[in-house]
Amino acid sequence: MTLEKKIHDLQAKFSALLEEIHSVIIGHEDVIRQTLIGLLCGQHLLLEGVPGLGKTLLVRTLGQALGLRFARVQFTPDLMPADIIGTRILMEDESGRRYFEFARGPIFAHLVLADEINRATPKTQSALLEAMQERSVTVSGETYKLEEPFMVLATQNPIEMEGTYPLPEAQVDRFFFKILLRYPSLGELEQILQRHGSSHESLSVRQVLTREELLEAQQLVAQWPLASPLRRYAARLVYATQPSCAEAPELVKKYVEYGASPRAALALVRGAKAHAFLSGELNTRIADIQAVFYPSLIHRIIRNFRGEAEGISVERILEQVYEHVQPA
Amino acid sequence: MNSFESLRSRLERRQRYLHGLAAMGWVLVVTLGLTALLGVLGSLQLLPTIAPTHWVSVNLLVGALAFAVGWLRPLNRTEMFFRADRNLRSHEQLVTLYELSSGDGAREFLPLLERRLERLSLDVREALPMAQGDRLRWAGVLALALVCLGTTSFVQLGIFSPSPLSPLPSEGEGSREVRGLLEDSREMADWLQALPSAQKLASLRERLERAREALALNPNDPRARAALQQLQAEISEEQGRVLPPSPAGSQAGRAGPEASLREGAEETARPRTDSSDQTSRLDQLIQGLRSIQGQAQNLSPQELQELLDQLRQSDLAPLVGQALQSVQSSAELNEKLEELLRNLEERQRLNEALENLQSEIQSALSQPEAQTARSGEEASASAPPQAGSQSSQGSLAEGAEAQPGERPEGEESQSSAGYGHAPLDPEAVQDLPDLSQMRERARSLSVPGPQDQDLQILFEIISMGLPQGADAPTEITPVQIDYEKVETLIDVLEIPVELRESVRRYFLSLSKR
Repeated sequence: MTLEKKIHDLQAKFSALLEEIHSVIIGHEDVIRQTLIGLLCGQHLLLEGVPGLGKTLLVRTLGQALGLRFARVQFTPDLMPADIIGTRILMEDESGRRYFEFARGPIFAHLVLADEINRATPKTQSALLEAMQERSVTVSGETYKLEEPFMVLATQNPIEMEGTYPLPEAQVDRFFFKILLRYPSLGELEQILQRHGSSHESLSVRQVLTREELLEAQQLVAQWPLASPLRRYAARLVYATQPSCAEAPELVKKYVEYGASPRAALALVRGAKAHAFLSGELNTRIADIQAVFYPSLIHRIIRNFRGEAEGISVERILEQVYEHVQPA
Repeated sequence: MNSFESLRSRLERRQRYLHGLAAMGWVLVVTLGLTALLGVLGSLQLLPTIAPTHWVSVNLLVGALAFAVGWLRPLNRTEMFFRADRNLRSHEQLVTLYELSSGDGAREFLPLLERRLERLSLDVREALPMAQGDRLRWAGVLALALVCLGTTSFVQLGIFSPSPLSPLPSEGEGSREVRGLLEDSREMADWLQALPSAQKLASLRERLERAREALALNPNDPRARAALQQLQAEISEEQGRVLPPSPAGSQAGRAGPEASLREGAEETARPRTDSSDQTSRLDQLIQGLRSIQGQAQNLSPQELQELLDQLRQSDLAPLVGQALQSVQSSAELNEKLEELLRNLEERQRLNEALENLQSEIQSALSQPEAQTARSGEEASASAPPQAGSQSSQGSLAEGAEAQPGERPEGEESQSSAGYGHAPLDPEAVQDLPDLSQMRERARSLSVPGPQDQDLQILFEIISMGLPQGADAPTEITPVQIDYEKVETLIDVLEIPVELRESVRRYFLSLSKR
């Protein structure tokens, strides 16, 4: 199969995947697209939104449409790391000999929904985040590789702060994108009622993409052409979030304690490539970088005390960075 | 269909062109700015005026050099393609293609992107337009060029408008006058071109000698006499070529504001009957030109324009019309006037030499056999010393070698007392200033005036006539007033026109000694 045909087929399948997800999820075009971008980049996502916006439904639908193993973990304060990773349990064979066997936790799925991740203790959160980073789990000196594709979609509830353990900045930085789920519009809400109001059963989704095809698409996206001026533009965008940068806008200099990390720049560039792939282009464009600018950086900007005290939102800061830094 | 390579070369050419224009724009802003400054200072007469041809050529040369430097400037191709992408809104395909073709990135995407490029409609001027700054700079260049043009009177002097000496014809009588003037100009221009050569004179003289030898052998030789008569006719014809033609148009009503020119206008209004009238017209033309030359020093463009307007109105217009068409500064005007004067003076000398020949022929035809040869020598000796032609130099040499005791009879008849002073035109002498008036005028000169002693010699020359023989100064002192200075002095001291030539001849004769 020629490259052109391969690209064409995969792009067509991802278009079908989008349609399939949209048949279940009403609205949230950006969220779905950003989720697919994370999927194409093989990275983990942090979804933030109030309960009932369809976060779990989105991840489940995605798993069904891809034919991947899906696991959901509801994070609670008493959740232990072993509940996620798995544990060694004592077993006895036919001859009566006892031995330990590793019982794999939900993290060994392809798609893991870590629901309300900020409700678990830092210890449990750390265990999950280490597994996300290493893509392997080590129990009692034995390492277990997580099967590709491996993607964690963590959700957190922004309105319930009581009894939560907010993720430390360093942990948040490990998420590729932070996707904000907005409340649906009135029209979308009506459509949700129309589609889901008559039955308790979830809508069935057909599988449009295989695991192998997904891995192939991930490889292809990794080598998607990106010209050096675009790399420079991405770097300048990220660099402008640093208060010490000369090109940084006023809000950054005034209200930002720490700007985005190099990991943010990587996320920006990789995300832009995946966005170009999903858009049916053969090369990465400035528009692709701009499309993934907010989800790549929004969880990586740490405001200073003054910024927080004056209620300067990160979105506003990023907006100024976006307008301030123009493509050369 | 766009091949990336062809598109790449087109874009590179365009980028080099823009670099060249940008460099040229920068340099021209500076050089034209300086030119405009010099032009303004020149128009305020703080500096000499720059000729438009000079600044235009210098600026063009410098601009061309800057363009070449800009053209050869190294290209940042990545930046160039990226800019083209932005302008064409081609979604960064060009820069991606360029980098893939340079080996940066996954080359397997290259043919796919090239195929997409073929479907794009690309215009290199749209891809790489001239920057706004460059446009503004070129607007500045244009404005500065106009300032330069204005300050150096480029427009006034006929680049964009007809020559001031050849105005646009108007309806009716005026246009007929203009047509007459143009015809005269053309005729005069032709006449100025046709200057008989010294070889021609030498040939005439040779033929005269042969005829005289034949007459010496046989005074009644009809063939020799016929040859002399033929020669006489040819010399008349040559004189006709040397002397100025009669004006073709009706010039009676045309008179210039210059007093010196008005004299010439009155003369030219009369019909030509013989060569003496034409000789006098030649003299008047020379004097008129000298008068103009005296006024044409260091003129501002406005003054120059006024002078040219006056010339257009004067009877000198046919003579100077074509020669002064492209004059753009007072320096050029002077150069042209000098050239015209040289031509006319050469004609004057040739005319005198031809008149000498005529008188020799006349003498040969009228004298008996024994005196024919002698009278020819006398005629040569009595002729005023000349310079500039073979025959006149010959006559001068003979005159210079003659001793006071060996003076020919013919010359004695012309001088007042054999020795002493040759009398001048008595009517003209009446207009002469006296010595005190001359001294007063000399004191008011803007140029360094003559010494009192020189002034006295000059006064004696013009009041008493040319010193002859023993009375001629043997000291070289008076000649130290160089010829150019004499010309200036006789103009400024308002020596009557009829006497000026005598003064000139005097100094020329001294210089030959």
